[in-house]
Amino acid sequence: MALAETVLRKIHKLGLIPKIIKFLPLCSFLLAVSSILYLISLPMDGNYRNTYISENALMPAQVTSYFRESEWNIVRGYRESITKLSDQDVSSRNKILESWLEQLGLTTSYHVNGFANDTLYAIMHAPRGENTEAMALVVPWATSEGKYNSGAMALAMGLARYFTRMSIWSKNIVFVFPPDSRKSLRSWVDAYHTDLDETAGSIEAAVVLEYDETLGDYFEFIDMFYHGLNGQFPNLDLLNTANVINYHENIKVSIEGIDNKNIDYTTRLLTLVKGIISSCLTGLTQENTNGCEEFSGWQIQAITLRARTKDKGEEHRDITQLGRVVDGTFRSVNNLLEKFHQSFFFYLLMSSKNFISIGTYLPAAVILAVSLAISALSAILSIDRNEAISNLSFILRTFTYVEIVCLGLALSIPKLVATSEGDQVSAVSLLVLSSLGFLSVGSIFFKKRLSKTITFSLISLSLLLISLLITALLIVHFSLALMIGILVLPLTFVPTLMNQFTGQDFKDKAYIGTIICLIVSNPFFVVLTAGNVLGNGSDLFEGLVLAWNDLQCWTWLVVILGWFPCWIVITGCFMFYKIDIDELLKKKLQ
Amino acid sequence: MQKLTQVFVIGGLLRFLIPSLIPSVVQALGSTVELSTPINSYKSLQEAFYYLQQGIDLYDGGVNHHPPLLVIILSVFQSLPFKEVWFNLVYTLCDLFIAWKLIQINRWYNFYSAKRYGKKNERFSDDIIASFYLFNPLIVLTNLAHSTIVFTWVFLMESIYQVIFTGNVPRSMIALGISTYLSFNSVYLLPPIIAFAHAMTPTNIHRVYIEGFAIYFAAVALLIMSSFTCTSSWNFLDQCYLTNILLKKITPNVGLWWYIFTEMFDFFTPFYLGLFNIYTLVYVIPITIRLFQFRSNKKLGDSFLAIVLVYIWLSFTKSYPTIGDLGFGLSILPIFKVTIFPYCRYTYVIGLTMLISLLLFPIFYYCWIVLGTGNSNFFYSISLIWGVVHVLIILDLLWGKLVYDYSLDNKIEDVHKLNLAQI
Repeated sequence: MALAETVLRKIHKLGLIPKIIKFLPLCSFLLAVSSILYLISLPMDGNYRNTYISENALMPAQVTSYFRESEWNIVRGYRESITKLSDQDVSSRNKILESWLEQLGLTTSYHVNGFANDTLYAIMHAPRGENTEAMALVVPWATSEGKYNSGAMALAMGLARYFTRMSIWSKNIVFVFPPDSRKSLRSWVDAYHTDLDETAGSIEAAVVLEYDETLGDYFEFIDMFYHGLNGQFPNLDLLNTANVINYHENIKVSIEGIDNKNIDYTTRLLTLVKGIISSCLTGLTQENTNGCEEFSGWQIQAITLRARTKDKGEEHRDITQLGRVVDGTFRSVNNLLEKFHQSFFFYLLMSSKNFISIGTYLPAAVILAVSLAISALSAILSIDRNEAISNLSFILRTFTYVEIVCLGLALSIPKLVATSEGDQVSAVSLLVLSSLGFLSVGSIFFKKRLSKTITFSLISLSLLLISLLITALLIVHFSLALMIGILVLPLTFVPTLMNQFTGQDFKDKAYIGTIICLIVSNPFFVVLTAGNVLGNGSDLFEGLVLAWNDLQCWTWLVVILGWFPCWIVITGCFMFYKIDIDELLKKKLQ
Repeated sequence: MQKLTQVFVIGGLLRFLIPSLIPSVVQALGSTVELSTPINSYKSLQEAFYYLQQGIDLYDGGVNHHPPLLVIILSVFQSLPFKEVWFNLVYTLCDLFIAWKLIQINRWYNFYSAKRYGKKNERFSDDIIASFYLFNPLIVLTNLAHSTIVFTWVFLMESIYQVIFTGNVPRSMIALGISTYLSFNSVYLLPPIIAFAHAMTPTNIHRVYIEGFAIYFAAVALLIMSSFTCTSSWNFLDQCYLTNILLKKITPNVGLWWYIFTEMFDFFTPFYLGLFNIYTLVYVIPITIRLFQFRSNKKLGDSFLAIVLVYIWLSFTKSYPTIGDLGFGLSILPIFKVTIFPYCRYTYVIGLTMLISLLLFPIFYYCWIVLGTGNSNFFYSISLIWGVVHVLIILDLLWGKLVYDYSLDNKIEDVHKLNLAQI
């Protein structure tokens, strides 16, 4: 206490507090910059860790897989037959597949989802299990790129035949054949946990397999996808297990499209940044919907393995090798006696061999939240607080109205987009919403009547709310928290700039600066820009809007009920803010 | 309409209409760990009604922890048509009653302090005090969850009210006795309320103590005996009170207790039980004494504040707290607008900390229970922050009061110009 006492006295003596208050906007900005710098420093040596298997029972790559040459012909045979089915519709393909599965002695069943073709699934009951736990192998008829998934289908049949001959299984194995790996798989997963008659116990792990028809007998490397919906990740142990097995099979694995042969700072940083972005976009765009995220929310660890090739003839990995990877992974998961280890759910991958865990990366977003809170504080400190409190009911009412309007939008836009033909509605609403920021250009024509007190307390409250939003998302969806934190940074400059207004017209630099800040921090302007940069136009918006109903991905709600209302309030404040001429003159005289 | 009437009507309708129109709200809120504990859960009350109806022993199976008389009295509504609506009405009336008492106490307190310190009476108006209670989200949620803690509050308010307005210590003690019967922790409020009675009744100090204690214990004994007669067994003592003291039912809540007993080895249990119980008790007396209004010095001390502080302290150290407990303490605080608030220093920090912990409670619980990615440490860490909020509030209020007392004692006009050091 003595030290604190001395420090406090010193601070008081030097009059540091008023000085600090004066520099609060700068502090806020510096904190935001340091957060980004911190993130960039993470891929440097010493800041990340090497992956390791946390659960000893998994023992990956400790067994010899017999899914080898003897199975090669069987897989080829199945592929031949499946390729012949390519011109039939899914239901008749399912019938033939069902007959094969029944020949192997598996229990088959259908899930009628009501909007697409039925999903066929088969259950292999474990010879040694209690019938309470299961693993799932998912092979959609179409890959996420829309190609015919014949290779993976043949592999699944080959594996099913191979698995039935082994007596080691203590967990049931479920083979799932949905028509696609998006909505229909999601609906199957939901139904499995709610109303399907044929079930096989709780699914511990799921592997989604893609090996499209163009690849032929050989592939070169595996693309591994692991992002779940709403910022969830599968247990790192599952990823590590698959990676170790791939390593023993001498298969290259690429994460976020970056392979693991030559790892250096740049590739680690790229993987990190791409990982954060794709975690935000999971379920929203075609490229970021890979099947594994459909298992989110049911305590299932899921990954997607997609066989890929760049230029044929360089490196040959034969199709049964991919089968061995699946076999090895399933046998490892089969060893699990309890659940996956608790501490391995919060991580960011930098390559298949390096990761950072929550304690290390969390500060990046925490600093951003603090930076926003500080700018809220500096906004509120620039006005008379007693006056602000007396206006509290007006301020709260304004927020309630804005929030109600946004709630209306949150419910109506998905309805409109879902019922409309084509993408006209989504394109129009995106255009309207994203151009709202340009309204602030027209603010010189508005009649100004908001006093400084009300304006600044509204702005301060909005910034505080965004800061709270980021805090709330920190653990559940770190990537989204970080993204929102970075994208709303321009809003923190608004109160500082508005304090520097000399006149409310285009001669005023601060005035123009504010307009730019407002335009770029509009969430829908961001969505529009991101959509165009990523090359899917208004599809990103459509995905964002529909993902809540289709996949229970709540990014849409966060954007429209958290970020957007705060942005509206700040923009409204800017448009109706009346500068105090007397105060301005006083400043000039000084 | 007058503003006060408006507040009462809106506050009442909020509590009555929402659960009447959307009955699932009560069930949903009643299942959240922040609002409902085994001790005050509405679900277990309904279970108890069923037991009563079927002639099963009320405490069979260890689900019910409500005292027998409460169950029997409330079961009257169970037999009426639209029983849910009747319950909504009872809970609404309870809250309106508390709000009304708060208004009275606010009027009195500020009148009394104005006289005491010779200052102008600049209290909050009645409608604002009522809104602080009726529109406090923590209180609204607690009420909508139909937590039985509301009944305890009713009798607590009544107990304080009787001391102030009738000077009738026996009545106050009977009310406190009922409150203790309804929820065990009220027993810790006996010292501050007796001390308050001491300050409020000008004559016959010995009578206050002797009569007060005697009647309090008589009331409690009478209630317990009649409960025994109703149930013809002593089981309720074990289920209603010992469960509270010995934390027999380990479920997560916003308090500090449960985690220690789930994670700890069994042989540590008696030690921690003793520690937590002593800890609850040990601060009650010092707070009471420090704020005691001695007759020799007319201006120092504030026994009413002592009651509030002890209540917040109890919310911190209780075995089964809810967020409503702190909400109740907070709703009383606006009464101190003139005397203490100007000297409090950390309101911004406390408010922000409280907001963040309220925000993270459900999220971390969701991570732990639903997603399975988090674990109990997540939830407990927020419980700890919630504890810190309590401690900060108590510290800040005590500091404010002591600074104010200091300025009165030394006749300092403007305390804010002073450079006070905390040693």
